[in-house]
Amino acid sequence: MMKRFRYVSAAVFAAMMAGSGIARADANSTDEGLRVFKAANCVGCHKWTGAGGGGYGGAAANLRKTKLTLEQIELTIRCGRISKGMPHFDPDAYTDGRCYGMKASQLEPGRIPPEADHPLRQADIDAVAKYVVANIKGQGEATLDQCHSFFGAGSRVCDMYAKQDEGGTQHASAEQQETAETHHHMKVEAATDSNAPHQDAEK
Amino acid sequence: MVKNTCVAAAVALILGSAPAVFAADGVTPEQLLNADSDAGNWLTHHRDYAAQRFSPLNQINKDNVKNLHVAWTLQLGGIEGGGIWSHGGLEGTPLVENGFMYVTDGWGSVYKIDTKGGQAKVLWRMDPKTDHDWAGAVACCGVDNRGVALSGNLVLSHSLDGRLIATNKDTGQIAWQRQVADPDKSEVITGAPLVVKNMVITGVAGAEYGIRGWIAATDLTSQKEVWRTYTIPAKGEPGSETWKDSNNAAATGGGSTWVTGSYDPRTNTLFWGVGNPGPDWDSEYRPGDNLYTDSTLALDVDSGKIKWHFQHTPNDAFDYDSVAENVLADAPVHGQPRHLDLEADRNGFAYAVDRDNGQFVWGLPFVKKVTWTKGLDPETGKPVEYDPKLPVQKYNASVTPSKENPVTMICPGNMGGKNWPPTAYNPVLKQWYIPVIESCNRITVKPETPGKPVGKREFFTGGGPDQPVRITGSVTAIDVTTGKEVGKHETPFPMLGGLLTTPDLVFYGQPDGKVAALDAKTLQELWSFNTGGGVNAPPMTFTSDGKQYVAILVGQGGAWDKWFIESTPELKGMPPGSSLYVFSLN
Ligand code: HEC
Repeated sequence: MMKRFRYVSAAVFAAMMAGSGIARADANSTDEGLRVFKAANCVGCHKWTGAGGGGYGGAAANLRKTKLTLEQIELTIRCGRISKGMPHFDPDAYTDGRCYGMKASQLEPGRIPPEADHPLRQADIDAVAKYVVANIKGQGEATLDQCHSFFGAGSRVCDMYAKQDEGGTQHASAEQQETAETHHHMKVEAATDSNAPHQDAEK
Repeated sequence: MVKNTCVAAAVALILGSAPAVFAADGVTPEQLLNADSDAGNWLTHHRDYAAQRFSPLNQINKDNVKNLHVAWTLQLGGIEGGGIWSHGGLEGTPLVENGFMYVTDGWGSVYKIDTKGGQAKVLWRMDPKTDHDWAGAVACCGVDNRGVALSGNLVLSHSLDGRLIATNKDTGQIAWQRQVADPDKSEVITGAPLVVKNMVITGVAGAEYGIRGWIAATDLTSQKEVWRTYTIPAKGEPGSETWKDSNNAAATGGGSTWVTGSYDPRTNTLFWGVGNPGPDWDSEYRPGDNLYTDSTLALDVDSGKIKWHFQHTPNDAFDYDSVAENVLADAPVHGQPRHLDLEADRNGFAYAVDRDNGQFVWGLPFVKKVTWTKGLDPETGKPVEYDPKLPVQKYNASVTPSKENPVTMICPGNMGGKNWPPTAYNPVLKQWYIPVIESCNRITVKPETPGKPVGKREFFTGGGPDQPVRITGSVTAIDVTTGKEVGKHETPFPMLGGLLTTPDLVFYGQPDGKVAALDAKTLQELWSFNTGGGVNAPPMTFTSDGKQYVAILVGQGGAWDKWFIESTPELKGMPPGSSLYVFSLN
């Protein structure tokens, strides 16, 4: 648990590199697309499942239910959506009319899509568009397998799917992982409700 | 006060290379009870149990603060993203005991720093290996951790993934840990623990995801939970009658508790703020006053039993949390000595109630613009439009979000008013300083469907905010003896970090990187420095080798850059960071 401080800066550096969108030429396109989906923080709005959803940040589209083709998806990622919350991942999208024939100067400020926090190169945009088509579009409800292929088995994030799929055998696959931390199986042991009427304390 | 510190320094000198002797004694309950007069140290989250964030240190004062400059800085970790968050940030208050500083980063790593000799030496880092994906997916408002608590030879901390962790102060090894909150139920922890007697007290976050909130106490010896007080009463408990629907809305009623509370040993009472009801902006989903959301709770510290409550915004439709520190101050009000509980609410009003019985004393708006109500009833402190007979409160109906009024500007905006960043109270001047978000924002209601199961680990908010107008800030001063505003220092950006006061100064930071000191009486700026990173944490002060320092964590965290950035366009593109700045004279 104890870590010498000099490793910290390396960890920060690694985290920054992960966000920088540098492509690895050798990886196959699904791996590559998954990496971009995480690094460009598509997850931040669409969730890992792509299902998006309402709530605090406004409604990101449900990519599992998208009707768009690969080309349209690529366009949406590159150019964002005019007047909507979907950012443009091509940093130059509105400089020369390449997106919807529009330049920033022709759009009222509120209509220009937000700039992406993590702009992408064309190869990354292509990879993530392919990933959306191959792994998210038309996929129905999220499953334990899909969760594991997204996260690996080292996190408890997939437990809720395990409970659904396997009727309560949570942690089944995490158990095989030797990475499991000592805290991986800890459960909350709560005291009884302090304000419950005496006899029938709430569980 | 300076004398004490010199004695401690001399003792340290005699003991020479055996600082472990010091540490083995550890922080005692008596020390925590007297933390306010322990001038050189900062032993508990809000500095003392009264949560005043007032330090008597005055080596740095209004005559010389202009000479304040950087003594040292330190780069920390925890900047990486996880879940829906692209980066972590720093919202913590450092603690200092005898020159040793303890800070946390956003993912809950604890760092022990030796500050002696005018420089920083990291002695250890405890990385709790927080489950980023599990916790980060259901953290409503960023990857944050507000700091540690000290007890005996232990450093107590929380992790976003719901654990309470006790670390050996000398070795940095985890001594024990327990799961307190359950991210499977969208419960996460961002607040700092509070040690009282032999207990450590934990609050929870998750009211945007349909949790049922609680405050829990863990015994430090048995490591077992000794009480858990739910902020939403179960059926049959007092308060359950304020959930009038037939769909069991209380089960997902919210009521988070993620800001560390305060404690009055005189009455053995713990004071804790409770957050918004869920769904945030669909008040018709949950007719009734929705106790104890948006309330201050007073609890018996030994049993967790509720002694009294004071609710600020019944049947809230605005996300006006009362997740705020309650400042305990003894002062005369209009000549009458009072035991006050001060709370600056997200709804834009500052409240003083009698902390022995929860009776309203005074209240006033501390923001420049309030539109949701005409004001507070001077007798009860309730919004004047509040009608206990109505199942769904309308307040100013042309402003209040509802099905009939689904897109509406509200002032203050849903961040407040004042959010978690702590106020500071100067007992010498009897002035209370509030770090203000001067804001309006737009709410769009998207009603939830009563009876439909709430999505697991999904947002349950009944709508959401957006930011069509600029948001600014201020430090607003209130004379607690009259309940009147006595000064407002306006700032270009909202106050996202909180305050510190010393006998004649007030310190704050801004999300554009500025750290500044104001004259405590006139609120005139006397000093400033730009750290180059967004400040999202409160300043604190301490002595090391008898010399006074001011410390502040720097690195924008929270939800601002994800959901509120349109209101502060100059902050767009400000990179995340994770560092500690420490200032001193010469
Ligand atoms: C800041 C939030 C945000 C981020 C980050 C984001 N999106 Fe979106 N996305 C949206 C919103 C909002 C919409 C819906 C726009 C609309 O209403 O038309 C959307 C729509 C889309 C659509 C169109 C779906 C349809 O059927 O119309 C695709 C495809 C898409 N996003 C893919 C991505 C990918 C891939 C990434 C990462 C590279 C990403 N998004 C990142 C918010 C976001």
